[in-house]
Amino acid sequence: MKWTTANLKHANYTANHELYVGTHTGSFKHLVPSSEKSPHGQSNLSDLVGLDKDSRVTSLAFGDEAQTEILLGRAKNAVELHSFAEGKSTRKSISFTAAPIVGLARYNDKLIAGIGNGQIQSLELEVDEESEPVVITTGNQIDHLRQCAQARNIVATGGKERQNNLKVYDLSSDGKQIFSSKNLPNDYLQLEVPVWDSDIGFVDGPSVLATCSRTGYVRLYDTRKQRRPVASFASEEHGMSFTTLVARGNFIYTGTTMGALKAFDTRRMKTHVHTYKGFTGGISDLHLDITGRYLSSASLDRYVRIHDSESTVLLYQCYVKSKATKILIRQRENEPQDSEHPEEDTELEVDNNVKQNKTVKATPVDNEYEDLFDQMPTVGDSDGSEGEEETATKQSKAKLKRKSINQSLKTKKKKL
Amino acid sequence: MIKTKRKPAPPPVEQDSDSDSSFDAEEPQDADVDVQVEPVTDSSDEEAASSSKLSKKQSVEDLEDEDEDEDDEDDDDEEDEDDKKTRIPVLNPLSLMRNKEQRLALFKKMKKEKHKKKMQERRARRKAGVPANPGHTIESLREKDQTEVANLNDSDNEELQKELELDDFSSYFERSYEPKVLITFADNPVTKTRKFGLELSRIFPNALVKIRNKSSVKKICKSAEREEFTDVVIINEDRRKPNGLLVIHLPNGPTAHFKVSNVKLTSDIKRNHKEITKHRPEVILTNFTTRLGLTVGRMLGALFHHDPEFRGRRAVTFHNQRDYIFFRHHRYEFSKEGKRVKLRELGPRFTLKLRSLQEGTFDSKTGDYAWIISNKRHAMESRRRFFL
Repeated sequence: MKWTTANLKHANYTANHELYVGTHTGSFKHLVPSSEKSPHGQSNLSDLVGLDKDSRVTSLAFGDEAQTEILLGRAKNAVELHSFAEGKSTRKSISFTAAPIVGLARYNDKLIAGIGNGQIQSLELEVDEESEPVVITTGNQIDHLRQCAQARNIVATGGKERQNNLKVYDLSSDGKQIFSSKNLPNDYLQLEVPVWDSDIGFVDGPSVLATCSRTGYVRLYDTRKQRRPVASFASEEHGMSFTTLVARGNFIYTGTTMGALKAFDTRRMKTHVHTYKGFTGGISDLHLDITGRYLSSASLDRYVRIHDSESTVLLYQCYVKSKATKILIRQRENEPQDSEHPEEDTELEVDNNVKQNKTVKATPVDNEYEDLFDQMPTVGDSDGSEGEEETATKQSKAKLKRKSINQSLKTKKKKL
Repeated sequence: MIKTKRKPAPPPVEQDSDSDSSFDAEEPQDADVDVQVEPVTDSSDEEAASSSKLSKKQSVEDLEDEDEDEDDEDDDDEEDEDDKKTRIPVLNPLSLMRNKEQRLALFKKMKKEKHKKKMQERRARRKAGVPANPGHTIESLREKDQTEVANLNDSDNEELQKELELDDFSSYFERSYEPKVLITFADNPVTKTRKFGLELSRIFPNALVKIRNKSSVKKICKSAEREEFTDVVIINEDRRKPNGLLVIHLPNGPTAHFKVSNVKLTSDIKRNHKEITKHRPEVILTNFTTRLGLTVGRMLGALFHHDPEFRGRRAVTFHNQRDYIFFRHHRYEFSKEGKRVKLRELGPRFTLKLRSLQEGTFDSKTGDYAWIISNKRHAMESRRRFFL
């Protein structure tokens, strides 16, 4: 499509989404691209008057699986909890002992925050009196903290320098470190390869992670297999500097500081597979919707955009007035207008979402096809376990392929 | 209210319809109110005229009759919806006349009438004080920019105001510090570049020119911050000419990279630098309309002291036109009545074009760009699209 500065909405974009955007000035916005009347209208969920220089939004995350609660962290030590359950919104603010807050997670009743100085702090939410947060020290700097969407007790951190590389923590066992990555071997001059894990993403489960770096690499780790990356992309010649990443299925989507948004295939990381266009400024955050088909992006050129992740078509573009730093996309409940009685409805919808999510996760799709593989004899009996694993991975890949086809069918049906 | 629209259907001259002339002609408009009424009277005139003439020229115009009728309808439509419709070229019926002498005579007459009418219209327009239709320029056809900042004090610009209160230049506009500028060059600058740097130092009050001495930009920023400079300007050169300007606002950025072209030094425009006084100049920033333009304008403005010394009558202009920022430096003088003003250009003059705007101090590899045009210039640029 032709490049333009206008607010856009593609005619084929019919999905019922809503966007939550955090900005550089500190405002927190809500956009409803699916509304007929004003697809580009935006409402501020926080008041503008109280903003100061340190109220830039530095992290934004969903607090629960139903995506009814949003955690918002700022460059100062304040965290806001916005809850949109049952049609009404509530707000609550909590403060940690350090700033800036670069990642937020919620596990049971604990609020976990990654702080820029390398700490992970966790606070009990329900306790009334002010309590000191429990501190886990990961290193001396964090760029990002992410929570695994499937296993919510797992969080990962990454930052600049070797000592702040990718680490995975298990919150259910008192924040034990369960994985720390190992840098690539030294280069041909015996120099250390620079580390800067600017963003982390979980690829469908707690054990496979992807990281991207401002020094220009995208790496895929498998915590079950080895500490070094299992696949890697390096862009020395292009000099790309990746800021943000989101991963799903076989694809990793990363944005750069220069406004390039690329998709990589984890099966072959040599080059990118898709490029998404329309950006004039660096990309600050990415988020996929629940089906994985819609890729929302926040950019420093003050626009938020939604692309079709498969066809790379720009579906939606909206000017949000200040530099967008964080974005979340969410499936919208069916009846947004009458907020009195759609409780059951919303719950149902949410259930549906969760179910969908699960089906996407574990995909027993085509029994016949499965059987076919089951009946096959295993090749290479000598290394029994490994061979099995391999076949399993192959199978899963095949499944994934099938899944993607099915998924697309599903979405089509949905449209109809 | 009044736009000098192109109105068709004036009373025709000899023949009933000469559509060509009718399209070009403008409606004489006396006042706002008459706009609605006039076309109606015109059309009735036309009909009357046409009916009277038709009988006379029937033989010639058998062919054209249908055409003309259609044409008239078209005209009526177009009165309503401007000139969006495609216009079908219509033959001038006169050109079908066989008799050359008669034809020429009629043509001449027609031309004369046309001219007369035009003059009448012009006179009427001038009398009514309606400005002439300026036609269109690239600026007037400019693609509408979503980010345009029309009026800062609008109620829906509340967020923008807040942002301006919080951004990196807010402390300058609160007048909490006096800007102090460090000017430096690429390594081993040629004389022209050095002179350019020197002349810039005469323009920015409180500026210091230093030779770079092979230090890196990041180091320069660090030491400039230590020495309490508020901005760093680095002039790059290529082929013995200054070609780039890097403006870094300290301590937290942003960093703007401009292309520099058409540098004319004071000596090139035959002026003497002794004419330039040490008074602090006034700064004029024009035409920075979009959100990006606002930031760039603020950035350029923040290089100067916020209190000009009007005694010196120096004015420095950054004029943005089609994304090129023209820099001029003048001394002005009002005439005794204070109605007219004399300008004397002092120099230097040069043109800037924004290449990129980066968050934070200079870090071209890993810094976040708020706006960058490289790599996608052909996708982004258009003759009618401007970013500033």
